[in-house]
Amino acid sequence: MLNLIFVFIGGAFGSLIRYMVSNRVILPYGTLLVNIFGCFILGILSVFVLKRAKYIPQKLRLGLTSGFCGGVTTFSTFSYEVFVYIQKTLYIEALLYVCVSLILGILFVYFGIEFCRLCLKLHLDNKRAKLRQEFLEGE
Amino acid sequence: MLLVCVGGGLGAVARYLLSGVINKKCHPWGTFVVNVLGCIVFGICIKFFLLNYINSQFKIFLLSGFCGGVTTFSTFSSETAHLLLGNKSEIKIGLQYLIASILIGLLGISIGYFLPNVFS
Repeated sequence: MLNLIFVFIGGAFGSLIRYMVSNRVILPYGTLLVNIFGCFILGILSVFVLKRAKYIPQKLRLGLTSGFCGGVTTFSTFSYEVFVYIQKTLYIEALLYVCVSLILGILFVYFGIEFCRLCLKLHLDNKRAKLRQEFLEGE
Repeated sequence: MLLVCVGGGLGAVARYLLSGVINKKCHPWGTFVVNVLGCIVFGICIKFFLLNYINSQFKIFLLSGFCGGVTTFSTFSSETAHLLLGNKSEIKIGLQYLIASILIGLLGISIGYFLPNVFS
């Protein structure tokens, strides 16, 4: 039950951000923007799934991934925009929009993962250096 | 704004429950199912809005809130990325998943969009 509440809150926040962003940016770039943003965040969070689960509590992670990232990105509006392009017989634009969304989406998941790994590595290196310093000073 | 929040929250919970159940049996098709269902509902709603059956506040609740919340692009991308860039044996599933999601999603929108025509 608590899981559901976390997902609900995350989804509510995500949807609100999506709504506000896509209202302010010219169509269809708003949807593209929120989708890529969500992919990046999900990439970051996915690093925490197995090894580094201790950094983020499981329930909070669920709220952020299933709730927030799922809520901030949308597949239905994306499909509808493609549908509108096709209806207007703008086939090249439709194809371009699909390809750009897919490639950038996958790329930004990857960027998110690498970004998070880099940050964690820096964090751990820092910690290690501090420990070494303390150890040397102790001697 | 409150409408978007409530709709998005409900959508996210619905997605979490439904895709969780299906993903346990056959990964990654749970996300596929919620995305297609969301597309069908989206198509119906936008048609109803264009026909003036529902007002713009209800439209915001359903489209920006619920449908946007129930469907997800981020999980879709990350699953595709893992399938395509991960194990070589999974590339085929990844491509199937990718193409099916796009095409059936579009089909879902069209079905939803043209369904009200059949009854009126």
